[in-house]
Amino acid sequence: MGFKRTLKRDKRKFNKMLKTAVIDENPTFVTFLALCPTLGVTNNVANAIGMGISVIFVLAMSNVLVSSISRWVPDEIRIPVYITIIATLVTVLEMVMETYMPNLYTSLGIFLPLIVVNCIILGRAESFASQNKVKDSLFDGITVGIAFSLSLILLATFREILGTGGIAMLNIQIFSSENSMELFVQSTGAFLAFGILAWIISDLRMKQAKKAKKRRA
Amino acid sequence: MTIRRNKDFTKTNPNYDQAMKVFWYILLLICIVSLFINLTISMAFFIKALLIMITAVISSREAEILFFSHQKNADRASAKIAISETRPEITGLLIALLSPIGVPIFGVIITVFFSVFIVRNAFGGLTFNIFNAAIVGRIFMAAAWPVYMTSTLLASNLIDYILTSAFNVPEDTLSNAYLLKDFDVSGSVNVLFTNDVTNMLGAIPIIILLPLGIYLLVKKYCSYIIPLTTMITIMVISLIMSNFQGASFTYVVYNMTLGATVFAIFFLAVDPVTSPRGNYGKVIYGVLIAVVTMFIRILSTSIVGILFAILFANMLTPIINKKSTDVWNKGKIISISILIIFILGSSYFIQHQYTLILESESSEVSENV
Repeated sequence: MGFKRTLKRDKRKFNKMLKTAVIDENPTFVTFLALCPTLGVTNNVANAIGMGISVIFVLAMSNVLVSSISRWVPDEIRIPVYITIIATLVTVLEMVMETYMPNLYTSLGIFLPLIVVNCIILGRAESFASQNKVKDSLFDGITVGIAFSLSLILLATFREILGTGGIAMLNIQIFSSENSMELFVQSTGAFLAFGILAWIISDLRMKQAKKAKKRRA
Repeated sequence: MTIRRNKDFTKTNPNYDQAMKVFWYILLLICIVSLFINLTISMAFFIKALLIMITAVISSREAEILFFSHQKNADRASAKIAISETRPEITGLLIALLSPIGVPIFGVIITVFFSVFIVRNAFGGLTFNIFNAAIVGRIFMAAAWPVYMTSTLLASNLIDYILTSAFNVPEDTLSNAYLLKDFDVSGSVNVLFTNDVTNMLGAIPIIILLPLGIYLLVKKYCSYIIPLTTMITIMVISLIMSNFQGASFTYVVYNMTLGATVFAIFFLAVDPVTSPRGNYGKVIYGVLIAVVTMFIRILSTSIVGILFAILFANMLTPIINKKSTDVWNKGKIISISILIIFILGSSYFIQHQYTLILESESSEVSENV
């Protein structure tokens, strides 16, 4: 009976954290963290999903490890310790991916080893995992990872549809690739598309905040 | 709804509204000439060019109305009154005059929306924007649909398909007038009457374009310093280049007149919003445009080199405004001599790079043989 109740409570907690991570504190569109992989790998949806899953894995594992050893880590050397943990995880991920998913490995390229310096991962380790319990840290890692991958997929969908006229992964072709805007699959278009999406999202958020203020008053 | 104006700007340009009005009529005149030349080539080109112009003007108005009514929560009627003062049609028509004949109509609409909504208004609005909106629009167009930029009417979009099947379209109308890399320009081409309207609708013969530009200068609607310095610097650099490569004087005249050069210098570079305020600043601005143009022309293959050059100079305008003064002192003489050394040095640099490119090409050819 006790186990069931804990499960229910955890589920509620997880949902709440997921909502906070995806909507209120979205790592990409609200706090503008980790823009390098966001702009680099989102030229198609398949890459974005691969990157998202890698980040979820690394983030969850690093959060668990950091929160479980944080009691014994001296304050002065905590950042090097966290970096070592993250780098180990990324190296493992890289080796696994090279063996089992060589296509994704080549298309992600340099951005896969660069997960080590992804500021979301170090930021969550520093600000959340080192001060919280193992289970909460695991939840935090998964939810923030999901939020990050959802924003990657949103940006990649926007760019791929505009840039190639369809989504290659799902075999969808909306309009002819001759009429598509090639600019958006190039790196210049990444900045442009990100700017437009961030503009729309912050505009929506501001409107919502105004509405909430009116309701309160 | 009132429109905020840059105080510095209104102080230095008191007759800006009048200038915009005159500029609009001059652009309309260029449009009519361009349409007429298109008609002499083919009926299909005439209809396509007319469609591009009308679409650009309508969508620029719509984009500005949308921005005003969205940003300031105004209704459509008051937004319409507000745009009569800001004149977005000028940006729209400039984009139409910069676009090639092959661009699809939806491309024009997207470009104009991007240019008016983002470049013109989101970057500050009238008299506040950093970049010339029409140029950014043209470069966006070239980056988004590179296939359409260098071809005539393509059958892949509907309007072009209808036009090509209804009228006969000459196949080989696109010239390489922009690519002034060729040094063996010979023969007596009548520069005054050559046009390039299929590559860029505004590139009408300079016998019509030049008087219109000079009219603007004489009436003091825009500064004469920028076109003068740009032209002189282009002349100096191309003279040095032709001297080295053994080309005739025709090459120099080509560089100064052909393609979009005159149109861009007289109608885009002189825009008082995005060019420096002081006279000496304008000299630096003109020199920068000319040097970057020649860099792109000779060392690269981009057909919109001068537009990139103007954009680059726009980017440096604030720092030019800050660092340059119109007061004569010892520093000014040093600065002018540095400018002259910069022009000569960059032309020798271009020359050196060009010979390096030639050498590598010839060695590749010999390896292949």
